[in-house]
Amino acid sequence: MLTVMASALTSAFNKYLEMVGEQVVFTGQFARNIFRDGFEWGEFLRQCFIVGYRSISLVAITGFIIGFVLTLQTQPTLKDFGAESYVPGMVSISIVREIGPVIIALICTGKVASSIGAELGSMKVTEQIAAMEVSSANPVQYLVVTRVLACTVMVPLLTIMADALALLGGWVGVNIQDHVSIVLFFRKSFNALHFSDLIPSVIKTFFFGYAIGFVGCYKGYHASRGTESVGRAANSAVVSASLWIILIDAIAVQITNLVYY
Amino acid sequence: MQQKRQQKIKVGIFATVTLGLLLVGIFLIGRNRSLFQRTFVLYGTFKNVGGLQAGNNVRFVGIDVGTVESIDILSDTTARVALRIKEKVKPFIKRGAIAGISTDGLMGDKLITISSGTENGTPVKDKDTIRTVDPMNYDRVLDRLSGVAENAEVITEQLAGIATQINQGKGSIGRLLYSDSLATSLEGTVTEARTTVKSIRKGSEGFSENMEALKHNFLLRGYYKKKEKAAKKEAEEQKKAAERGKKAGKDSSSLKVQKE
Repeated sequence: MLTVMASALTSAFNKYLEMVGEQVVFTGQFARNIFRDGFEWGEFLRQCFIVGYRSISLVAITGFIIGFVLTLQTQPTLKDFGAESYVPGMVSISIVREIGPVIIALICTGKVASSIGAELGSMKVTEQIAAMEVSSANPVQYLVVTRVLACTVMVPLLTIMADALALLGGWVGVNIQDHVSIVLFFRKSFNALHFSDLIPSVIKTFFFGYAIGFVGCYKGYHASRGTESVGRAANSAVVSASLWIILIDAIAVQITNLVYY
Repeated sequence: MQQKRQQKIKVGIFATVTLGLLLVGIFLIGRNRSLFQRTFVLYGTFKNVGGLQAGNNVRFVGIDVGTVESIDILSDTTARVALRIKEKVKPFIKRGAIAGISTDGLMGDKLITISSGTENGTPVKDKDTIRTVDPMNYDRVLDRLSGVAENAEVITEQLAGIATQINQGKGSIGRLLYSDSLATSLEGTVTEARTTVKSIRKGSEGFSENMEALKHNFLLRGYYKKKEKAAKKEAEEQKKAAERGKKAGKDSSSLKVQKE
């Protein structure tokens, strides 16, 4: 009994180590291929289009509604304290620092990481990746580098757009019951913001984007053979990318506090 | 190929717009911190900054004109506050201006308020030090208040003593309020006074009768008659004087008299 458990534990541990090793090797391949000659600009831009442009409507609606709901939720409480004038500042700080980046990254995980995982997984299953390797094309450079970089660049841009729309949503939320001019609302919002709120949160979205692209690509690229592994790749890409985003967020908070306060 | 070009253009538009938003955000935040404007520095020294922090607002005539840049300790009793203020307001801040620390709103954010001094001096220059007023020290206020409270305690104690004495009927006020004998003796006094008044009235009636009898007495009759004559004469003279006055008066007034 004990030996069975011990062997199960060691095999699980070995599996874990194997996965970590694979990821490290994959990261190395990715890093080497960024600076290799013949960067696939066309494919990179196509991926930017898919990751960034195709997500605009989803992210815009999400961002707007986050700001709208957050305002409606906080307004009555702050009203009780007679601190209604703090609504714009509270909404802007909470959106720019935390809610905007994390929610948008999670939304993008659902939309982008799953599609990358499924796409690369099916390419792996149908042996297209193997065919590329045989025909001396570089699959990592063509498939992985472009997707990861596109995510790294596009997720921050989507987050900035979502932040702006969330503030707009906040303004609309305030105007359901009261009347506040848009100039006053935005002035109050930006009065509360500091660079120490904006810059770290923009920087961490690059890491979020990288995590989404990298995990999606890794899960797809390392899908095992068989049709069901495509679905598994897509699923585990979403799950682990979400987990990574939360972990990165926790680390980013510590670093931000260390640097700024 | 055409489709790829369109994709590129769309991505380009998206990236430009979002980066523009980021730049606008940075500019708006920076404008609050006076990053993209010409500014100058003023210094003020305080004994106690009362929790002021770098980044707090600076107000002049009620307008936010800058921020607190830094706070340095100069000695064990003084702290120097550097204020970064917009160049635009420099001509309006005179040498005699006074900086004070006050609180913004209920939440207790500290801020520096610059009030113009009484004298019409020349405008300040960069890196000038202006006069300051130390913020109200709540500890000192509390000290004073505790003195007041002690005094109040003494006073109320004494008042309580007086009240108990009065309740016990001690002292003149106590006796006035609580002693029955005082009231009965007062009543006796009043009835006595009433009888006294009655007897005085009787006495005066008798006296006037005696006087009337005296007037008719032959010894004194001459004196009273003389007095009567003098009184009549005086009355006549008064009448004449009045008539003379009326004649000297205006026609209208005389007409009025005639009508009457």
